[in-house]
Amino acid sequence: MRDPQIWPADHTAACAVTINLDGEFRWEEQYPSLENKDIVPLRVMAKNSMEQGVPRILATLNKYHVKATFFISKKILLRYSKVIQQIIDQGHEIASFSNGSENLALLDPKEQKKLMANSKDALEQKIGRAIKGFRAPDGELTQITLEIAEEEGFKYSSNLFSDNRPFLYSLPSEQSILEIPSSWALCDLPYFIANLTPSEPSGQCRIPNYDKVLNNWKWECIGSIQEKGCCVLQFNSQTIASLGRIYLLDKFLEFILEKQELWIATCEEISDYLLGG
Amino acid sequence: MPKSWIEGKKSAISLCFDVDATTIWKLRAADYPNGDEYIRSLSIGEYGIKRGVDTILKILSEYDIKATFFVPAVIMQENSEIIKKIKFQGHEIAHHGYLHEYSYGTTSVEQLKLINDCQNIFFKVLGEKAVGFRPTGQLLPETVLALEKQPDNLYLITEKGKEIPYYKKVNNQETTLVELPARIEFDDYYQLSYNFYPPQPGSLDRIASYEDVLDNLKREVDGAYQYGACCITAFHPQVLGTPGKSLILRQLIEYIQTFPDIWIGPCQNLAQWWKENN
Repeated sequence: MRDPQIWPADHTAACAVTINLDGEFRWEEQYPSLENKDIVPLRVMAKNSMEQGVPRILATLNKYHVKATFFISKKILLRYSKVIQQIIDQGHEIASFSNGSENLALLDPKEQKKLMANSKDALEQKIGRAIKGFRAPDGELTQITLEIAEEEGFKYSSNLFSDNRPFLYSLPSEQSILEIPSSWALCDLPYFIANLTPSEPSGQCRIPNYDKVLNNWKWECIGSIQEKGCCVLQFNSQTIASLGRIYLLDKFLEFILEKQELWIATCEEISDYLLGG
Repeated sequence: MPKSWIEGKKSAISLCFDVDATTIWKLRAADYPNGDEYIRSLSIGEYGIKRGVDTILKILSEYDIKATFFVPAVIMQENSEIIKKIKFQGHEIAHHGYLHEYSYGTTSVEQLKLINDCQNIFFKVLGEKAVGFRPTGQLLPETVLALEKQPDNLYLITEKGKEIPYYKKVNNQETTLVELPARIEFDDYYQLSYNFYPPQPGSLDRIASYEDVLDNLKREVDGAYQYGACCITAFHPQVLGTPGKSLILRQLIEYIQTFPDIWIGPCQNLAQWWKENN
């Protein structure tokens, strides 16, 4: 693997914009004991974010000619096939967000393997070529999860928070997998998700000032440049694509494009560059 | 409030960093199904050792500041090189439990065994025992009285909310152990720690705005300066040592250094000075 602090074309640091698409399956998985009618507000919001939100995300990325990595679950692919086609047509990277929104750490290895393999197959069938990236749904994962990802032919994982730059994660099998780490501070969903019943977040926390959240992301980017790192943003259509918040993506892209030091790349490009793939 | 602090300064600040690393995440996940195997939440703690400590050391060195690092003994065992590096750069290493356990046991015999085992690890790795102790669980009165009799122990940080050092009281009697006054307003974990599952904080409240956190910290420094108080922080390499949040620390230090008469240094020096003058 190449030195993960030396970036192409004299760039000081790297930045990847990733979009997580989990839609209503996130809530069905999180509230298995509730009937669908009891999570209606979340379901409506999630569905709207796929149908109205994703095209807005695509238009914003297009405005700045930025290619992003979309982590897509198999269930989302099957339910929103037309929207996913738009993402593919615009040339973005497609990666696996597992099968649904299951908490993989709670499943036995066989079950994990089945879900991850199915998701990879379905996505590859849709786009007609191999996919390289794997991200577990919000929740936990174990070393076995990453071991399965490596066995299934994924080239990189983007799941952990243990570094400011990509690194090789050593697996119990003595193989390794490239990890492209991120951090919670760089995810939009924890800042913005809000619902009264069921309570999201559980403490019914108030929604923070949008511009100040944008500033947190900017500070992280500046810090990444100082540390010659790799800044991996995670936006979820359920939160970033709302009418009032899509401008955050717009302003963030404008900000990173002004930073000449940054190599703006998809996770696949980062993985290919580092691994020589 | 004292008329003046070390070197005749008007206020005193000790920057303290708790090198909790993975300990707190292991404890957090222990009650969850298959929790021992979780690697995502654990990775937040791993950052502290892998990058956070170095980032903090770099900043402290740039501004020529000596600080105090509180280290659970298991982290010292597993990462002795980086802990030695902290000490080698002139910072104080202090005691923070073994596994960051929230209970030290129900008898003082149990508590003292755990504490002494940790001190032995300190001695083995660093060649000396810690003089400072920020326990992660409650100490029994008999435990404090026993610690007072051990010549290595100088200060404790067991309470939060006071503004100047004082002698730790047990059964209404003052001991010779200095208690340094921590306050929640100087805890970065309270403002910035986050994990979705297992939830941290429990309410899943938002990660605060960095600029707001910085601004609040500056107001706390202003207040301490105005009233001549002292500040003991509880910062964490896994929090303020991350790329964006390190800018908070950097700007806070720059702000403190605009004051001509705020003393800044390790807890050990502050406690020793206080003891000699009170």
